[in-house]
Amino acid sequence: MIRRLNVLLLLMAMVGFGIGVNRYIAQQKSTVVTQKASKPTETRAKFVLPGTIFVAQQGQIYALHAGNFTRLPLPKLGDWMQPYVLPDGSLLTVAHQPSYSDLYHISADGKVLAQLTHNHVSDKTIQLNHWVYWPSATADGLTVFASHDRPKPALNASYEIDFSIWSGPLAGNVVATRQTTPDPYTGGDIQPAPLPGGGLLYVTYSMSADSHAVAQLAFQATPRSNTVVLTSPEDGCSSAAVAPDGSTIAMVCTADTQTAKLKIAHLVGGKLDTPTVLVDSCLCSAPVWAPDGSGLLYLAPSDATGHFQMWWVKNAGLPTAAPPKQVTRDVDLDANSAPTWYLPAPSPAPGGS
Amino acid sequence: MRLRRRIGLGLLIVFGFVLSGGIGAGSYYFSTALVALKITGQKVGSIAAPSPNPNGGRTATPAPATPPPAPDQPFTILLLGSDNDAKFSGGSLLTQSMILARVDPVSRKVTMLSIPRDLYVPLYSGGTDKIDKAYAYGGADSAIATVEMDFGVHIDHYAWIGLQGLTNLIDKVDGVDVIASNPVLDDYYPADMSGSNPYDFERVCVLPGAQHMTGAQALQYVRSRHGDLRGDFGRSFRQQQVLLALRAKAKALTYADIPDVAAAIQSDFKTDVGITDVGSLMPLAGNISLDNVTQVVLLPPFTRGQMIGAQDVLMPNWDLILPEVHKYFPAT
Repeated sequence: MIRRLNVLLLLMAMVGFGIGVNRYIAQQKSTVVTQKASKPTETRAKFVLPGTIFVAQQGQIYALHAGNFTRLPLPKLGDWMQPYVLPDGSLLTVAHQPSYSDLYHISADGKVLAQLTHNHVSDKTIQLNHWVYWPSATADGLTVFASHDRPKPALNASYEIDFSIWSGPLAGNVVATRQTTPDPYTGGDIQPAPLPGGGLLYVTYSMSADSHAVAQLAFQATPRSNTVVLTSPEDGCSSAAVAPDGSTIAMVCTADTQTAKLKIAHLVGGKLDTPTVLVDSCLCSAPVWAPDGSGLLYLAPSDATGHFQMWWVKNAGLPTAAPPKQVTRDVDLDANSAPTWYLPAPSPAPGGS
Repeated sequence: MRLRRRIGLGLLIVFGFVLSGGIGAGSYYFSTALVALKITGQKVGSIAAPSPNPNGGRTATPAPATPPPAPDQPFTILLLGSDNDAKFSGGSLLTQSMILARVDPVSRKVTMLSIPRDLYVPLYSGGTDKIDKAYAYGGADSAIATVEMDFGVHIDHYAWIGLQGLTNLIDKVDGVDVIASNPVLDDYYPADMSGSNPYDFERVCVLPGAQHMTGAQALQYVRSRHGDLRGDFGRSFRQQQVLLALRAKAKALTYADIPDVAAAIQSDFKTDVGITDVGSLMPLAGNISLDNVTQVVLLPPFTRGQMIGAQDVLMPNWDLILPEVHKYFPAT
């Protein structure tokens, strides 16, 4: 009897061992296959930054405040992306649909205040629709800039479609005035960044002599004035972010490779000085300065999953710049949407003069 | 006597555990093995030699069936990507993407030559046409033989993937990280992966910069061509970028991931590389640095656009192409 019981136990142990081997192998799967990104609201920031930072992930806009994320309860008008904070704390943002995108003005708590563009023209002849991306505004928040794919050639006349920079009043047609004329069939002009004093910084694409698409920072001192190209085609710089001082510029330069450098330079007298490298050999994207100029946020993956996290460099642009510090964990932020940061100006001290 | 019985019993128990563990591992890989046997080790046969030789006097040396190179020897592989949607039937597929790669396992160097799909060349199956039709007129055998004949190189292996397979593969590894070179805008992108009309269009807008692409986004990025001044050449650059991004992701895969990956691509992938060789190539893929990858695209003056009949084609300048190609791929 005992012998039979022993045999039975031995057989059960063997079966268990086989199952264990099977499960052990299954557990050896790579994190790139098994580790899915969390929603930001399921995570907490690793440390607290002041104010409120808005980011996008999988078609939703999230507000990061005091280390916690909140999803803005926006209506389902498309995949929400590219939020941009206005001086009063409200936001410009893009709603992306499969064949068009539109700009919206929304409140900080996720209410639609106004639809700013109307790019959905036809469901049947989709070529009549338009894209608009990368909203930004002047320091007073009254004039909006964006990249828009008008004008397009007549239907079936050609395949040409490129972005130009457009601008207009927040209270009117925000794509009323065309600011730039792009190189055709390159993708065009994108990422407008209005400067204090009326200048405009943006990214222009062209094709190099050896047929590589190259990005360069471009500058107009006044609206629609002559464009001055600030960076070389070889550097491949884009995603310019202007610091609150109006002259310190962060940018992402790829030099036509699949790795990037996050660089800092200064725009003085319509020229960019020699940049310094803040972060080397990264998949950096979407830099944005703190509203008080105390540092720089950017997005980059932190591990092999390739999910983009938010990083913070304190004192970026100064000799005392700290090493990058990871802000978020386990999320997968939309790398095409730069974070945007609202930090209300400190109220005057009571009774102060 | 008792000692021998005990030793025998002990060996039996050990054998039982080994057998049980083997069954446990085998059951994990069983479905994979079936898929792997189906999609790998595809025989490259011989196809009828054309008559008359369309090669215009150059020696046609198609050699589809050759012994595999030694493990430490450089080898060449022809990577083929096809539209395989409802527009096409009976396996008569065009190759939208054709990349000839040479891998040196010792120096860990890779050269990738993108062959433009519109290149107007003698086909091994007969006649002269765009090279994307070589696969349609005889599958991988014909594509390999045509490239070998026209470029004067030897091809050791091939791998073919369909659109859905590429999308599934990228999704299975949870996306790829790519620095998109410029905004890719296309108002006439083929809407053949969904919907009822494979001839319909959709609008595509891939934004530039570093980003984490899903399979569908990566497909749009590598497939779009209408809004690009470089047309098919722009697409070739982008295809090489995504291929390298996939390689980077593959570095993180383990043997335990093989069943999931195999299941994702099973009906949209074929290769003549044997299952054992696939296993030995995985570590190699992880050890190749981006700095050791040379990318070649046959831009003008290697080619020039021309209309033949009603179709846009690229005419090859063989006097320039062959010396350039043979710098990286030994001439046969």
